[in-house]
Amino acid sequence: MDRVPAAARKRALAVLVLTALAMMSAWELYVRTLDSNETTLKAAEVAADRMRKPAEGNARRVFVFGSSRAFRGISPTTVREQLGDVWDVRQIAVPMGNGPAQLHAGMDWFKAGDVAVVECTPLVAYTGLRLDAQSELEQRLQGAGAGRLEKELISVLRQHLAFSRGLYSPGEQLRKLARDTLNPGTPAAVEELPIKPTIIHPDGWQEYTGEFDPSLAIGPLEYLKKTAPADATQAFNGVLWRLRGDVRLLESRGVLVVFLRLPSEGAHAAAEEMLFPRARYWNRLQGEFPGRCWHFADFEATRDLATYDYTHLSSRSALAYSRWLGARLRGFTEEHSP
Amino acid sequence: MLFTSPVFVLFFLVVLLLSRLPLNWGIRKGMLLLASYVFYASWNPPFVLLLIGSTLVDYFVALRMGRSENQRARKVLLVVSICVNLGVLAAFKYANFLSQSFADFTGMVGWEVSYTTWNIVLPLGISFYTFQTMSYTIDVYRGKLQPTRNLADFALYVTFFPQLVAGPIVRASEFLWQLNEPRRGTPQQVYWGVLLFILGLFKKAFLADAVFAPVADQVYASGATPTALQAWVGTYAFAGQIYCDFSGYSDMAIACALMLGFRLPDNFRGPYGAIGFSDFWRRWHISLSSWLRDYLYIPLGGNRKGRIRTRLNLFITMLLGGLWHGAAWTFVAWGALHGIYLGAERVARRFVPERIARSRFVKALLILLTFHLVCFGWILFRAETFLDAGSLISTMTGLQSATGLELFSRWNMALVLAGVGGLIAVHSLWRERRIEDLSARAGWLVTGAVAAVMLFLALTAGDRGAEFIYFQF
Repeated sequence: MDRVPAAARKRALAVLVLTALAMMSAWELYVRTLDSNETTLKAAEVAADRMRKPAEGNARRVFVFGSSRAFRGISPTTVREQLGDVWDVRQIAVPMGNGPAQLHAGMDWFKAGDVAVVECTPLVAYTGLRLDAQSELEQRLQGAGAGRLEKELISVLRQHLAFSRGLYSPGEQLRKLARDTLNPGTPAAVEELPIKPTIIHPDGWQEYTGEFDPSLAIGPLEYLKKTAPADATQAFNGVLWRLRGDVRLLESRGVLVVFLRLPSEGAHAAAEEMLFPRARYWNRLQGEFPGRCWHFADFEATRDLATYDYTHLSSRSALAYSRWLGARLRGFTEEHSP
Repeated sequence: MLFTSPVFVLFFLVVLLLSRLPLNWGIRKGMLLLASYVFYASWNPPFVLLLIGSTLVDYFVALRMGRSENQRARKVLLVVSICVNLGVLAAFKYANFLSQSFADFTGMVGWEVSYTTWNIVLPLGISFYTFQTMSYTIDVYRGKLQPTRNLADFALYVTFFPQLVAGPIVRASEFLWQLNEPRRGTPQQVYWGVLLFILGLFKKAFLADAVFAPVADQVYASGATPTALQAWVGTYAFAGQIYCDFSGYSDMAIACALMLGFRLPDNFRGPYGAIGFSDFWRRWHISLSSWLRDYLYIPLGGNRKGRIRTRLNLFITMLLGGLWHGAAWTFVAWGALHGIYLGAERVARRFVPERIARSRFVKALLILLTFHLVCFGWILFRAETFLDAGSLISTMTGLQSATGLELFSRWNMALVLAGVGGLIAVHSLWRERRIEDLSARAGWLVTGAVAAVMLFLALTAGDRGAEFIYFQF
């Protein structure tokens, strides 16, 4: 260990402390000016908290995993109304979320009697694609398993210091700044597209209250075509391989798992069928988990539900779908009661 | 309790404060021992009993060995110690792997054997403290070390919390003597400890978790097939992640010990600036590679039994080194690959004149070659199955048709390339320099400012709560 004169040590430490404090204060002030409600990271944080919250009393939990199709198309309160008071339905889906990957990340948080509803949006669920909110959710679910004291401490820090919430990082802000400067107005991913008007319900249902608007379909359709691989068979094999293990393990622990395909229509549905033909993807999933895969086109009640942008259920359709889902889950859980 | 968590910072501050109280050295050592057990129990309290059991076995075996003049009895005691240590390791870490491998093997020859998969929780740091206690009994057996009579000292050596769960693997000869005299971090040690801790935190929280991990995970853990370019960048990202994760942990461990007044051995010395593989292993996880050299390679005969035997010994040593990392054939293959690298390097050295290797250009080429071959090994290390590894290698080499996904943005790609390029440049340019030399040359202003920026980036990188990769070993 080299000897550093005491004066140099003190000066270096003073520079360290003062510079770090100045940078942290400036960053804190900057972060406080940002609106934290609309970030996709916030969605991941809320979803992770819902997943980790223990069941109250004898309540049985239903976790809804997936993408915006799930949090726009499924109203947990309506599903619960169909299932009964003993049930606690929780929305875990995040923007561009990957249902099967969320199921995998949440493995440690299930208990016997729980039900996992895994919504499969082809582009993400079949290819294994994971964008920011999904990765963030997985990190939060598979994190170090902080102890109680740690959680308390972190909670106090997050209450008082905006930067400690981890929603923004200097690198991420720089990236956005660079992107906005080079390509003004271009979202980096479909999850950043602005969609309004929406009511965000406390149970996690994001109800679209506007009329059918085909212009909203352009962004997601372009993103689908740009991002989808010519052939995702190999990736899908990997997804199936992992699902096989996950479902087997969960069922051995008394957890029921079902898979959903929510409605899509028009040009988006055609593009999805072209890129991810049902025969090559969904039917294989159905073959792996017979009786547990519910495709909207297979049921009269869900076949003709309307969307507001070809991919997300409109308010009325979402309520109808949720009622159908709740009733079907009730029958399914009674049939497979632990 | 991760080194990067606020609870650890609180815990460490309390321990540091207690260690500076004007109390008897014995009491302060007792407090350090207690703190170490509390630290370990914060993960899984029952496993403290296993740690205590391992400590007691090796303490009494070594004591008995020290008292005995009978070589045969000493050997029996050594075998007892090794069997207990490796037995515990085998039971907790390798039981499922061994039974599954046995069933797979018998299945291949047409004999179907059913086996049960046990739900075994791997005690944190078991591979590290097992090797540490084994080195103690072996050194006592060899007569290189006198067994300590002080059980509390020995327990503190095994349990000392900065290095307990992920190394460095400290030899008793490097640590026990430090317990003989009262210790408190001197102002010099506290100063360097603070700087080293910030460096480790920066490597772990910013570089490993925020820059490299998101990209590496997309390529290795998402199940999706990337494009060839993204597969390469994902592999570079993992190379950066594993170095920053593990060396960041080591830096923080050494820093904590230093602030308490203890010296732990270096564990990394710019490995991505290595020229060749023997050089790489002198710079990567030094405490493990030197352990394997002293307690496995040399007893096997080292380089004393001819060329072929030397290469075989290298291969066996690296193979077992791979297995030490994890109970999977991919780790064994990774170790074997490094064994082959080391053997091939010895052959190559016979044909390449020394003067050619001295040119700067050739050195730079060799550094890049070594790095890429190391990266090739990391594919086996990170992939969950051989199938995954094979698929990724096919994608990278263009053997698989290019139908992959763009899994991450160009920004992330640029960040990873800059990060890995920076690591290679720093490691190559400062191959023989220590952080202390660099800080002394830079002066107090630059040292303080650079440390402040590192701290800022580490604290604002976002809380991902990711465990250290080497905790699983």
